[in-house]
Parts: sequence; structure tokens; C-alpha cells
Amino acid sequence: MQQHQASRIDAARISTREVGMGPASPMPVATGIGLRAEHYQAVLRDRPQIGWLEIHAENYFGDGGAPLRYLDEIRPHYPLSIHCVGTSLGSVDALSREHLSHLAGLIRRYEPELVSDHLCWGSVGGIYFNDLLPLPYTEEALIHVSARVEQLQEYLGRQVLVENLSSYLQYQHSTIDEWDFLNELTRRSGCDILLDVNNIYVSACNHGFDARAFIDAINGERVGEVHLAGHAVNHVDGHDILIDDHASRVCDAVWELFDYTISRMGPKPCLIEWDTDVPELEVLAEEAARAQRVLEAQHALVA
Amino acid sequence: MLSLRELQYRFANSLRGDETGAIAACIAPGPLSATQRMQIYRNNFRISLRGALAAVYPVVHALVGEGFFAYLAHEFTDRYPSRSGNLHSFGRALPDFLRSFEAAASLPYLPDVAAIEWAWHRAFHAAECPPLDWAALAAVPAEEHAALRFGLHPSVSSFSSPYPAAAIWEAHQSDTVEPVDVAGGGCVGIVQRPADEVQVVLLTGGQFALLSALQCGDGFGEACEKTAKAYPDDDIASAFRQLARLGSLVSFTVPSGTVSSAADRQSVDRQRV
Repeated sequence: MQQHQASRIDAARISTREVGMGPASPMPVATGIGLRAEHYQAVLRDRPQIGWLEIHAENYFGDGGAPLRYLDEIRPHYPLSIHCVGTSLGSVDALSREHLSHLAGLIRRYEPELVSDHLCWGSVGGIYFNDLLPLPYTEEALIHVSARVEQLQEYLGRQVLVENLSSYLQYQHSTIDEWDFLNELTRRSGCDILLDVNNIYVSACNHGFDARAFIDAINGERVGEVHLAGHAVNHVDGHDILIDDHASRVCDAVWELFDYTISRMGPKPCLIEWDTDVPELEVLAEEAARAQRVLEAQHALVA
Repeated sequence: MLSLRELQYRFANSLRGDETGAIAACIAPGPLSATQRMQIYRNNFRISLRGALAAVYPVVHALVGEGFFAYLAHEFTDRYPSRSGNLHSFGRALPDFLRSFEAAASLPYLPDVAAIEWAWHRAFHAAECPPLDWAALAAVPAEEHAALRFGLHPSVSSFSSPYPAAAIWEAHQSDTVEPVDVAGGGCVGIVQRPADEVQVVLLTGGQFALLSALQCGDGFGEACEKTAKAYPDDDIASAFRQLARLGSLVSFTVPSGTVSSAADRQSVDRQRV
């Protein structure tokens, strides 16, 4: 405990020195897309009507080169979200100073509107699995992740968002529902939620819970961003198992769930994620436009 | 109750091994067994790291084919697991791994092709650096030339192979791969990114020797002597000009201090006065 306190104070001191940022600008309540290397040139050339862009932080951890050069050019034209996949927030290992330092450098350079990672772990004993692995939803895990999110936020000198995952198993000894875990995490650490509607759908199908009940239970005021993506359906021994692969259009059931989410929570910054078998930029723009229409319909309803 | 630490270690052991193992007892029952569920995670782990390796080593992938590459990636990941949430450094050890990988012994040039691919990946993500200040270099008095030490662009890596590894690499840069005679002799060169594009450049023995000596921190005079001794037929002046043209040299130090720009140079002059 002593050691933990010391490392947090240390992190806070470093944050003042290394980041020293003021509060971030708010992300517009509009739809963005994930920025992929395949689209750098098309985005610069066509400047598509897209609300904002999201990058995967780790793709920009190099010392130089094309990714940073393109992002330097693109950034002035769009609001930006920096989404991490490798912080390993839920791991029992110490947070990686090197990783945090790279992330802080990116935040200094691009001053993003949003910064996020996942409610997961991806490494232990210094070995990284390059995947988003599920946590047990227990008080022990909640205390651990809350402290780590606080540590991350202190280091970066700003709030982060934490995203719910797609999962393919549940632990016997989980004692807290995933939605309650997320709500409580926001309360204890001060983070907000990045609500991935596709992940809710995937996990609901895989574990047999009601996706709408998940959304009903989430404190909508703490949702700062919504993700939409495609998934694959695999068949194992006559059972369907849904795999989150970000490799296709958003399916109809997830669109319905998205409508429901926005009707419950009001319009939010939304993102179309497509990371594998990336299509033409126009396809992503079409998906984004569809989500945008849902936001605008809700705006009109409220107005 | 099982601690978070114990759970993560059990999960990790199951991911890295072939058996579901002790994590099975932690997994809630359902239509799929614990073994089937862990197999999904094991696939994600294996496929994503294999994909990361294939992205850095497309020519190795093409040379051995998907099936063998999957085996190679599996063996490599067991021995050199990823040690960072940032994948940029994952796969650095592949050329070394391949040198002792019996299953690929029939392709003796494979480690050298892999070394060129790693150098390419490294150069792609290397820091930018302004070119050498030639005016400042020209202003260095002749009597100080021998003591000059040159700094290389941060993207520069050198390669050396008893096989035509660069030609094999080059052949795979277009859709139609022209055959390369693997008995066609060795090659030396550098991979670098002096501006936007990564370059794989073949050098002569003399150019390579001069660059290697400068890279080791030898003074210019000593580097030239070593090169002349090893390659008596090479023209050292033209070797230096070629390295200069390539943009591989970006800074220099004279005994009295680092000179990286004309302005710095003047201040050094003033100090000397």
C-alpha cells in the first residue's frame, strides 16, 4: 500500500512536468471514424465530412516516420480521440512507464479531445498477449482497476474513458455485474465510460444476458463516447459464438441497440471502428452518416 | 477466493501452452466448454502476433508460405514473447532466431533477408533528422579533417550477407517475382530513411567499410586508413562522396566541439579565438 501511494505521488509529479496540459476541448456530439493508414491520403485529399477521427495510440509510438507525419497534417482538420489498446489497465503488473511516457508524448503533440483504453488486462509477468483479456468482476479487481485508472489520469493530467469489452468467457467467482462494475469504476476513479454497443451485443449473445438491460443499467451521464463496429459469427459444436473483429459493417441488431442507447442516453460522440479488411473510405463515411442520422433524429426529438 | 494475480498467471499459462490447465476451474459453465473458450483466446493471441510479425516480415512470409510462417511465428513467440504493449519492437529477434531455427535451415539466406526487413521496419519508424550542414563541414580547417567524427542518420542500419539477400528482398517488392540466383554472391549495404521513403541501398566493399568505421566512432582519418588497407583498389574519396550523396551522414564533431550548423560553427570559432 505504501509503495502504491508512493508511485501515485511520483506519477502526479511527472504529470505536471511531462504533460502539464489544461482541460481538453469537448468532443463534438457527432460521428467519427477510426483513422487507418490505408486512408491517410484519401482523408487529406477529400477531407470527408466526418465529425472526428480516432487513432490507436500505439500505432503512433514510433520516433518519427509516416504515421506521425500524416497525423501532423490531418490533425488540424478534425477533432481527435486517442484510443489505447496496450496500457493493460487491469494487469497486476505495474503500469509501464515507457508506455505511459509514449502516450503522454502523443497527448502533448496532438492535444486530443478524448483519451481512452479498455476495461481489460493484456499482460502479466512482463509478457504481452496483444489482446483485450477479460477481468473477473470482483471487489478486488474493482479496487485494483480504480487505482490504476486514477494513476493513469494523474500521470496524464486528464480524464480518460474506459471501454467495455467483448468477451468469450465469464469467471465463476465474479460477484459484480459488468455494468455495475463500470458505473462504480467511474465513481471511484473519476473516469468516464466509452460504451461499445457492439461489444455489449457480442457479450450479451455469448453469455445470454439482455443487452438492453446492460444499457438501462449504465449511468448515461458518464458515457463520453460510443463505439460501433462489426463482428463475426463462429459456430462451435452447434453453438454460435460472436467474435469482435472490426472487419465488417455494423449489423442490424447492433444498429437497433444503438438507436436504443441514444434514445436512452441522448446523443453522444459516436465512432465507427473498422480495423481489419479495411474498406474504401466511402464505406466508412456511409456507416458514419447512418449513425449521424440517429444522433440528429434524437436531437430533433429533444429540441 | 482466487486472487487476481493467480487468475492472470493461470490464464497466461493457458494462453501460452496447449492445455487449458488450471484456469478451467475459474470459467463459468455454459454451452461452450472452458477448453473451447480458452481456444478462442489462444487463437486471438497467436493470430494477432503472427499478423504483427507478417506485417514486418512480408518477404520472409512470402518465401516460406503461410503454413510454415504460422509454425515459425508460433515457435518464435514462445521463445521471444512480446514484452511491450507497443508492438513496434516485437520481432526484433527474428533474424537471430532464424539463424538457429533448424526447420528453416534449407533457406540459409532467410535470416539475412529478415535482417533487411527489420532494418526497413526500424527505418520506417525512426526519428527525422536534418541533413548534414555541408557549408559548416567545408569550413573545417584541413588539419582537423583526420580527427572529424561523423554521426549517422538515426534510420541507418547496415547489412552484410554471403547471399544476395538484398536482391531477394528487391525481387519481392513487385507483384511478379523474378528468380534470383541464390549462389549469385554476397552483398553489403544499408537501409535508411533520409527523407520520406525507406531505401535499401547496396554499397561497395570500400563504401561499406568506411561507413562501418565511421559508425563505430572512428575518426575520419583512421576510418579512411582502415578502408584503404582492406580495399586498396577502392577510391576512398569517391566512397565518401557516395555516402554523402546518400544522406547517411548527418552530423560531425571536430575536436573542439560538435558542429551541427553554421551558427554553431561560428560560436566554436569565437571560442577558439
